[in-house]
Amino acid sequence: MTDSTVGRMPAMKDVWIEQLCVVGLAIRREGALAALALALGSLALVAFARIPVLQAIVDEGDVGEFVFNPGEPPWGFFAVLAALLLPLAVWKGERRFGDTPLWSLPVDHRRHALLKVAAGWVWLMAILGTALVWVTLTVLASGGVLGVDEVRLLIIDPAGAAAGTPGATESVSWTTPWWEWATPFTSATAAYLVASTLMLATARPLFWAAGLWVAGAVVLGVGEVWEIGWIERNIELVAWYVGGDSFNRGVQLPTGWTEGWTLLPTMKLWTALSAIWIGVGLVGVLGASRRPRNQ
Amino acid sequence: MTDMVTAALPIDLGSGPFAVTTQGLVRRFGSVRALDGLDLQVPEGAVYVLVGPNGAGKSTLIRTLMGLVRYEAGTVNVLGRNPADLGAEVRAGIGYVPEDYRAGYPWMTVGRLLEHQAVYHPSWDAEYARRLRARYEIDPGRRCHTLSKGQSRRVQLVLALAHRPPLLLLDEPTDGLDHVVRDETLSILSEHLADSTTTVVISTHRVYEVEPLVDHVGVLAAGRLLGQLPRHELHGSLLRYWADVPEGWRGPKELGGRVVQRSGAARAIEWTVWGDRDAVTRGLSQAGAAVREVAPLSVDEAAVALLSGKEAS
Repeated sequence: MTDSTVGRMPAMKDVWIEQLCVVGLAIRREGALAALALALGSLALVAFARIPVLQAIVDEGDVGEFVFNPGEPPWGFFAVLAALLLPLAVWKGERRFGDTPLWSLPVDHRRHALLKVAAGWVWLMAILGTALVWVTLTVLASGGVLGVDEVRLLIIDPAGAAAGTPGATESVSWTTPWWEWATPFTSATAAYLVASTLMLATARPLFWAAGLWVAGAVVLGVGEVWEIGWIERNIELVAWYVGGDSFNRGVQLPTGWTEGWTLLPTMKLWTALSAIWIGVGLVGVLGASRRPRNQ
Repeated sequence: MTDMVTAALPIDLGSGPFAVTTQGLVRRFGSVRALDGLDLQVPEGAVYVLVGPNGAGKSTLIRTLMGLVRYEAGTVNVLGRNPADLGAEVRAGIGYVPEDYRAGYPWMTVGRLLEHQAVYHPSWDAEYARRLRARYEIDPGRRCHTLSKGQSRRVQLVLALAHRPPLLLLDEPTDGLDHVVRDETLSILSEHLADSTTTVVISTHRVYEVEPLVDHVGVLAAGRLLGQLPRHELHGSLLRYWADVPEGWRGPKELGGRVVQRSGAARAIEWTVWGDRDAVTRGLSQAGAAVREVAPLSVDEAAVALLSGKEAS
């Protein structure tokens, strides 16, 4: 051999950049569709908020003020949904348990798998960041407001609240905290890692995802039917973390029905749940990346 | 009358140097032993054809050499490294055409796929890749999922050759190619071998398609090598003998284990025998046979004879 580069390994920096490019190319169609949906939604929002003829169509002209709080439903849920689906696009065309294309290249299989997962995560964060900025600008353009500044009714004792017992409820002044702007990113990260674990560990990830979904529903059903408190509380925490409607609900007070909160999320709760779920996702991905690609 | 027995062909190619060796290599899939104590020796710079029927273990062996399949027992050495431990380093020195003809990512264009491959191989020769692409008439704008089987194979060959690896592992490389493209591929491989110091392992069950290139032969059946030897040795020692024999003739006992294939009518035999030509002719004559003609076999004919014997034994 005269060429000293023959048989040489590629630089990891080059592999990383290439994986960023390849994953970007793999997800571009899905990204374009999401961008189109976002653009059309934004256009509709601004149009209905600003054009009187359209305003008249909706709610007899009372469009109301559009409030955007990324830490509350449905925004976090959209981010989690995107994160759960993204690995399908990231690994599109890859024979995850075959020979090529990824596994026949001169990079350690485990490292290569992790680089691809990481590249997908970078794109996920970029997409969410862009979407967040886009929605923020749209809300501002439509005359809406960012975040909430309100008084929330905290239900300390539900039975006492219904009976009008003093001290069973508490009014709490609530302003959207800064960390709620970060919640879609952390919950999406956890969801992406869990979905990537299924992609790396199983030949039929959708089958396993459906199985997990059914198992979760069964646990939820058991918790509700037998009124098992710890299950209900944990399901509530998970539901909140993935951007679902969770802690607020209608409560019967002597004065009538009103919206109350069983728990006001805190930064400590967000940090703890993020640590747990991202930790679970990381352990899953690291473990799944060890699985031989070809038995 | 056709009767076949297994001949004892040589397995040991001497002391090397070898680009690839395996010793006692075992790989099972459930209860099936895909590789059953395989001792492979591929000399450096050789064009080694691995012949065997479907399911003989050829693809499993090549994927094991690539570090894509784990093995259960034995040793493997590819370019001085064990692919189970240093798979990435081994793959850096290999140009691989897999059995699966799907090239790259279905959604990727051929041009982008070539760029992708170039990133992973610092030795990528872009000009050579362009020339190969032109010779194969590959449109770089085509998406991989729109390529036919033959077109995909051509792309895979470009990907395997353009970084000028010291070792080529080609698993059924002519599968899906029409006659014209197959000849072009052989021509490209010949030129490549003239330009670059390369060891080639070709797995195929259609030896006649690659026969002009081959200088070493390994015959594989049921995960075992029936023999591996230089082509000239095969050509000189595995011969077909036509002879007239008396009624009820049974043949010399001393040839027993070296007869690869027996066929012919009652008084005219056609035997394929491994051994020194003069000694075999003398043995047949002393046993009462009148040898009419002796001819060497092509690699393809030799493989068929050896594999037929194995299957019948």
